Amino acid sequence: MDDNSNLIQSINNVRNLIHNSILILRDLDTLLSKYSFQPLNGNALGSESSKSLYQSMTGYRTFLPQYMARQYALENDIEERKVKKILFTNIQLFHGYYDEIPPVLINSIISLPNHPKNLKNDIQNWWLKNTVYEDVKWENVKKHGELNEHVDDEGYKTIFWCNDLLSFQGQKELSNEVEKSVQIYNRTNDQQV
Amino acid sequence: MRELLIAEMKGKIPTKLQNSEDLLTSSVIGTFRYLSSSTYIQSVLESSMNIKGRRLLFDTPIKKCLFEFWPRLDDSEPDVLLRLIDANDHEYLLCIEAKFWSDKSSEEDTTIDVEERKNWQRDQLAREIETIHTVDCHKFMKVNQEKLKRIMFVYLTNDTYLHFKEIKESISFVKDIDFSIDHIYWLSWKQIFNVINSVSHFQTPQDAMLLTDLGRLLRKKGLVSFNGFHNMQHVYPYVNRYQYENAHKHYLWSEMKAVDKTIWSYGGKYNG
Repeated sequence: MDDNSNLIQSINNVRNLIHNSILILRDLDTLLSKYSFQPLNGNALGSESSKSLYQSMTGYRTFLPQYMARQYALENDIEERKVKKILFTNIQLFHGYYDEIPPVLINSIISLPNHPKNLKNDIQNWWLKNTVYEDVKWENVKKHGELNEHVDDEGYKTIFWCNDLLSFQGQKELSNEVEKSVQIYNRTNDQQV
Repeated sequence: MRELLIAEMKGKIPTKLQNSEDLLTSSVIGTFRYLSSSTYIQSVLESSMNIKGRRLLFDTPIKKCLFEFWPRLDDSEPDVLLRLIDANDHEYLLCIEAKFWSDKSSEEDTTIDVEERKNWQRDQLAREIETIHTVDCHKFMKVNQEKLKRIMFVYLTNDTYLHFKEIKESISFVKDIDFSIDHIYWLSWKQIFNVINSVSHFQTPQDAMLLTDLGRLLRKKGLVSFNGFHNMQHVYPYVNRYQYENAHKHYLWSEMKAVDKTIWSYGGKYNG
């Protein structure tokens, strides 16, 4: 196989990785609807990318986005403006600090110290990747779905768990993941709010 | 019907019709009309859910389903009306309002007195819910009133999530009838793909042929769900030969250095 074929294959693999990641996020939307969760940003994927010539491979913002984030809250809580915790999902394709990390699906429950005044503006897409890769650091993270807990200086408590993206093979795994998220969300509710 | 599906799959439909929700409704829901059993449409309908997260469920298997597409009724023209008869001879009247890229065709104009509002000033879903409760509609569908067990409404959309607010808004504008919000269900096009994908036993070869083609059409239109990374058909040869782990090792920059740099250098003679 010549170098062109290698590059074509690499690019197609990435395109398909992204396509399937988006399908996963769409399905999570649908599955979470069953439990009255509503995405905070409609159809938009949360990500950071750069079109600057001065970007670096190790920076947070690169031409190819490093993650796709979605955040959810209960529909009633959004309506009544009393969101105190959110369900935060992140598909992390890579991270600038690390050369070899697997693409992962990270799910989390974030308990907020206050009711955000403006959900869309106050909740940042980079929160979860910052917690996992920059605060806790990937080498310290419990993997394969084990729960991790982190409280930052401002009192934001994050319970998160990671699974290799390639460990998801269909609807069954996604459905299990959503049930786990809802269970942990409800449990966190009892303890925190 | 099959010819229409094939024409759509092969891109023989005029471009302006390719995003038509009417054509999609006809191709997708219309296919179920020609299948040998009502169990297929029952499975599709049972994958819809209401705003409480409850699935639409029938008490017993549906043995007969009558389809009417775009019936011209007094105040509205719903996309599809279904009269379903179950194994106990109970009847269900179900309306499907299908959307692809568009929203409701009309919203309630609350600036006008409620009694003065014309059809086009009414919330589309509210208007259709009222219509399916009328005697005229029941006569049109030949509903046996004594056996009628439930009237339901299915909002079929291309959304990834349930729009709670939109449904609540529509139900708030329904007037003069008693219709529970529990009987409005949401279904996404991709869930129809899931149902087809999960069929393990087709009752006839014709069913298999029609549903396989329908699945292909939904795939072509992107109305699909995640089905594992192994199912990325366009990259089968690549994925099978190169697992991501191997691919990663293969594409390390150190490997890339083996390529003759001068061929790739930008700048020609100015680059030395």
